[in-house]
Amino acid sequence: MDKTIKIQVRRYLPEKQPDPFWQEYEVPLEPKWGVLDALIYIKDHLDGSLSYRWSCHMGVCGSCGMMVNGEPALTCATFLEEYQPGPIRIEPLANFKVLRDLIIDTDDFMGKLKSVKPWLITDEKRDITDGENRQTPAELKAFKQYTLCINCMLCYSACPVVGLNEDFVGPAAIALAQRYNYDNRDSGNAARHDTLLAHGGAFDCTLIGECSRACPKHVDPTGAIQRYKADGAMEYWKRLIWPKAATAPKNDGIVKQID
Amino acid sequence: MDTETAPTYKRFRPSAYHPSMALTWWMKKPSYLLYILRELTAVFVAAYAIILLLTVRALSQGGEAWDTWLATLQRPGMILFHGFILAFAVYHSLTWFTLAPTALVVRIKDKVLPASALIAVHVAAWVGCSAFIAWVLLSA
Ligand code: SF4
Ligand code: FES
Repeated sequence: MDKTIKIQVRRYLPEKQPDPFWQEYEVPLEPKWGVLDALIYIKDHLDGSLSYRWSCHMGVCGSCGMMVNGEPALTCATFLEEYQPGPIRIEPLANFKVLRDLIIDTDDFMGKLKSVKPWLITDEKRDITDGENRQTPAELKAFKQYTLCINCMLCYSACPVVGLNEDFVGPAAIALAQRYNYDNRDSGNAARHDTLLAHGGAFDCTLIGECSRACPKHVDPTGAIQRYKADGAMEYWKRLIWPKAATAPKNDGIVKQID
Repeated sequence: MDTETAPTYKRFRPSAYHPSMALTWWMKKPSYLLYILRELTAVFVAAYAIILLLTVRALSQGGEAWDTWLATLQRPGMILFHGFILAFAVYHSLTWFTLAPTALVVRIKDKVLPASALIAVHVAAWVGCSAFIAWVLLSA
């Protein structure tokens, strides 16, 4: 082994020890290794009990997010060399419950994504024979950026509001809501307002901007949230002045839409 | 996986820990600190609003009250405080204008106006308004 670098991992093995603890490993400092490669090396050669998530190893699946020296990062896209001489401190993503070692509980996040109804809501009846529901490049451009999210949850780790207020629906979920709100085939904005205008909705955001800085896919959730606040404020007044005007399509479930 | 609908899965999830955020979280990163400072500017802007209200009250109470109020305002401590308020108000305004492009997307034909242009328009309008008010006050 020529050059090496120290990796400190915050571990949690509830069946062995009730509290999390730090463990240090020394791994080869290979020029093209990401932090994830170091963890794989540890699991293969040093300590098979280490648990972490990963899948694609190319920055598209969004499952390898961890805190690297206190910053949320995709570990497959973060290189050991950048952290010389080390040590590198690796922790599970902040602001989440930790189940084991570097593995966080994603249930809450998944529930939040679902709460914004991220599917096409429309009363328009379409038949399979109608073919594709086509859009112009301009119509696609209106929301394309928000489709690039890989659900890596780095934005939730970066956001102090998420950490302080567990009801906050959070950056990626609001960006996802906007992905549908700005889709011309969708008319479910009113249904999403119910979640986004309520307690824990978009107005819980205090515009710190950390989510956009953390996002590896340049989704810009900060922008999505602020644009929603403008739309949501309009909706709020509309509902106050003329409640009947705000009606959602009756058909707001994807299952209902299929049958 | 939904642990509610798959209770057996709980067997492999003996427990979890939820680290809570330290009270000093905003000191951890420069960007957090700048954010807290930005929020803090509101206190100083509010303080200035109170000073303005007191000024109006002094005005309504007639000549003598007005003169005492003016003397209060001219104390070195008060002038220093105004300096603070000015600095925070400028920081408040600048951060506000630099954040404006996150909420505003201006399309001209099918081109989106770049953020820098939006900020420039806002700052120019701000400087213009301030200059106009200064002109009105100073030429009176
Ligand atoms: S918005 Fe960005 S940081 Fe947040 S989950 Fe999606 S890809 Fe990750
Ligand atoms: S392993 Fe898929 S994003 Fe890192």
